[in-house]
Amino acid sequence: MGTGHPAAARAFVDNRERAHWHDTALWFVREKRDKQAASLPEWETLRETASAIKLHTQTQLAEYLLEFESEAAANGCVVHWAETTSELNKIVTELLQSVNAKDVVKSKSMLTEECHLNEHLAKHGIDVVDTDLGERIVQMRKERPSHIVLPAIHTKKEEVGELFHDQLGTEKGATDPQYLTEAARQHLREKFLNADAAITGVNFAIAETGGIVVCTNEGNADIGVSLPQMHIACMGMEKLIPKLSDLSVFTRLLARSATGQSITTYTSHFHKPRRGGELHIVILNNGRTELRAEPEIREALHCIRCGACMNTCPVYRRSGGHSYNTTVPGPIGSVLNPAMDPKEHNSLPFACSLCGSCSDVCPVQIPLHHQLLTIRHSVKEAGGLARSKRLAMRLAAMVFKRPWLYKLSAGLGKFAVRLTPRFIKYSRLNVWGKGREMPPTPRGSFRKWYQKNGGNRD
Amino acid sequence: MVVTVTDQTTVKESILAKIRAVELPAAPHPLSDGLLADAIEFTDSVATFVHSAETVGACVHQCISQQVSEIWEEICKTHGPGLTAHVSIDGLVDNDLKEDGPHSAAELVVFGTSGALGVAENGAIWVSDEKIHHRVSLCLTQHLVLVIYAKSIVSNMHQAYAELQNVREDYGVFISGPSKTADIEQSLVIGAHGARTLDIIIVEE
Repeated sequence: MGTGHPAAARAFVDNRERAHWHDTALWFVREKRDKQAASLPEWETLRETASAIKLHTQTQLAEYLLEFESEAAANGCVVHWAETTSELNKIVTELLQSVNAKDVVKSKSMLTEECHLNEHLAKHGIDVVDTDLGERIVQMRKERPSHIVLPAIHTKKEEVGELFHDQLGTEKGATDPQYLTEAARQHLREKFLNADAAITGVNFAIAETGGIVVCTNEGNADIGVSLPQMHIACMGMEKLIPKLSDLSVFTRLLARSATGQSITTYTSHFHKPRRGGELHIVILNNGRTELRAEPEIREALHCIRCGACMNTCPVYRRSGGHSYNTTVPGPIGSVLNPAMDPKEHNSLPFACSLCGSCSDVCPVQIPLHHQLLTIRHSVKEAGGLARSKRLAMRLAAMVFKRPWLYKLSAGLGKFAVRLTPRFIKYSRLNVWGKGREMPPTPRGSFRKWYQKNGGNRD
Repeated sequence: MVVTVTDQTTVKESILAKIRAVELPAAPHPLSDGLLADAIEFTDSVATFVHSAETVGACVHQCISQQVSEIWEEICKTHGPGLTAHVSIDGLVDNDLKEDGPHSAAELVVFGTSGALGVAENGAIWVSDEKIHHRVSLCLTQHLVLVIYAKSIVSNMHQAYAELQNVREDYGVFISGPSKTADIEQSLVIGAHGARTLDIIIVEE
């Protein structure tokens, strides 16, 4: 395929040293997650329970949404409903205009990225500052997050140093993370204190109590929403959980899976606005009801956005989050995006070796690699496969169906590979050979070896 | 506001209709009493709590109730001159911020209050804004002090939420350690936006 993920990943992959650095950084996070998972004997029970709670919630979603709305209203919050991203943007814009807000602080929210809310508000003269350090870095670099939990994981400290020197006036050449973080703290403190309103995402919404939970390590959500008069929380309808006590399951899984912490520094439960303030909660659909209707994809709505599937994915680690060209990259992004917009994202389910590691680490047991395979089938059915791949697959099917032909072609192939000159073997037709060497062809065949050493069957 | 009530009702009804159009096979809630069977429990939950809290960067003091005020004074002295405030700490007369606007909390050098419970598995303490004039004080202060009773420490989050049942504080937060970030090359930096340090005073009755 000349476009899509492979093309978008090329520049990243070409810089071997950097790709290796990125790979190592994420593997480090994956290992921290493993230690946390191993520290709890009940880890697998927790995953099963979390998955079952999410499944249960989906079966009674309408009832739980209504319960949430009425409980939130009883707490003094206002719930808004948005079918599309543009409806959400409109609601948020009008709310902000109602308090004449010009400067808005936002804590991390992948949902508002999904809606391109910042750009929309900018058009209405409203300035949004992302306050999570990683998000602030990518915002200043005019990029999008490359990871849902570690937005600036693709950025080196030297680059952050240069960026902060240019925009925040830090010392030239300074790269110490402690120093740079302190500079961001001072810069964002001023933004917090001067904000007219605050926007956050939602990690969990509790139907039983009408409350929302936001998890951060930096404390940016708590500071952001507790100073100005208005707090707007934006959530996808899949964030809903039935009961307050369900949080015990999810808070134990989220940070352990995400960053290898036993819990985030701040797990903040908002039931009422701050004294004298107002709290608005916007619930977004944007295709989620369609996903819910797909039996084989439905479980992707269980996702709690921990990013563990990204940290473990051999393709993500080596190609970088930006190569996916989506708000949510990695394995879960390769399910969600093509499921919502198959034309635009049909290369993503193939950015996968089907190793299954994503499914193994997923805290809510989404069968990600099975779903990726399912979506590959739909891409093929829709005629979205490249011609070279289609032909190769048809040829392979023909050979594999006929043992005599397989035997013949395996024998001939061995010689062919050995004798074919490099310039033909690694021509443009062999996509697989880009940046890879074919393995040396063995002298004997497995069939012969097995006849000699193995069983009695042919 | 341009978004009228009718608009909102229509959007809501249409979303609910789309959900109801797809009936999923029944799947019961897996936890009938909210508790997970076989969740980890620690024989010495206080010692485990101390270890967890120190791992996430907190400084732990263990004492008897008569010593709390003395330790509070010491912590305030360590963090230097400046505005301090405290609420609901046994042995100390409340001294919260009095100004109306929450922005006054930006001047806080040390803020102290009590937590309802501590969680051994992760060093988190539950704090609510019930008695605190400005909830933002918890995060906006440079240094935070939280007092908990040793007997209020539970092993895991299941037990913690069981204790919090029927509690619907306006705002409540599990705080585990001082604020932190690792957004620059995965290097852990303590003191992101929230409190730079967390001192925990465990009162052993």
